Amino acid sequence: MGTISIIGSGGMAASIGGLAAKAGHAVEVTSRDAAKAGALALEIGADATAGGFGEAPSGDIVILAVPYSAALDVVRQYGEKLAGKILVDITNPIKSDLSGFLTPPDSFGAKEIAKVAPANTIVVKAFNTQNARVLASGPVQGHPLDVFIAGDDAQAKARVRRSLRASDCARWIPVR
Amino acid sequence: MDTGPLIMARTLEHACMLWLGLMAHSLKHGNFAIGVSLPG
Repeated sequence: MGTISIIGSGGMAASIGGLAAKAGHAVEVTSRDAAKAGALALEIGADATAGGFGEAPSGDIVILAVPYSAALDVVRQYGEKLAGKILVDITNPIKSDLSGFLTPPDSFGAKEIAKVAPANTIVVKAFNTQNARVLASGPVQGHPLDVFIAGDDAQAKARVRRSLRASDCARWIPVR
Repeated sequence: MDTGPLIMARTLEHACMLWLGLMAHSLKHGNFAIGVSLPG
């Protein structure tokens, strides 16, 4: 099992970090607020660590768990430190009043993120249709949750799927 | 569930708008998930 790095310390970061830890991965949490990152690492347990915001993530898979309104700046700030990584975009570029999207009409969030990421960063969209608490609580009436994944690199998508499921956790791991 | 190439992220982002609309205007809570059932 490898390391999953998570940028962000909110509800989705907690849920995905918990899934990753239960699947046997080392989890690294980073946040602009180091105290929040440390607290979330403790909450996740399983020897999860807090990394430095803006420093090179230790994991090959990096979960971008910040609001879309901050995502582009965060990716720009990390810059080449995301080179070669699989960047999992969980964001939704939706206006807070639900009146529309924050992206240009001919674009979408993952595309805008890919534009500002290093050329060899592989962007995979996932988890954006899930509520953090629902994701953390696992199957609903025995049915696993659907986590939709989109991306141009089949191997990267397969790695993201594998990273959050493990045979010994299959009973509750929602990814399918 | 693999939905295809990255362009499908646009559809997933629109699906989230549906999710948020249901939460805000109909269901009034967030304890639900969008699911897909495939026949066969």
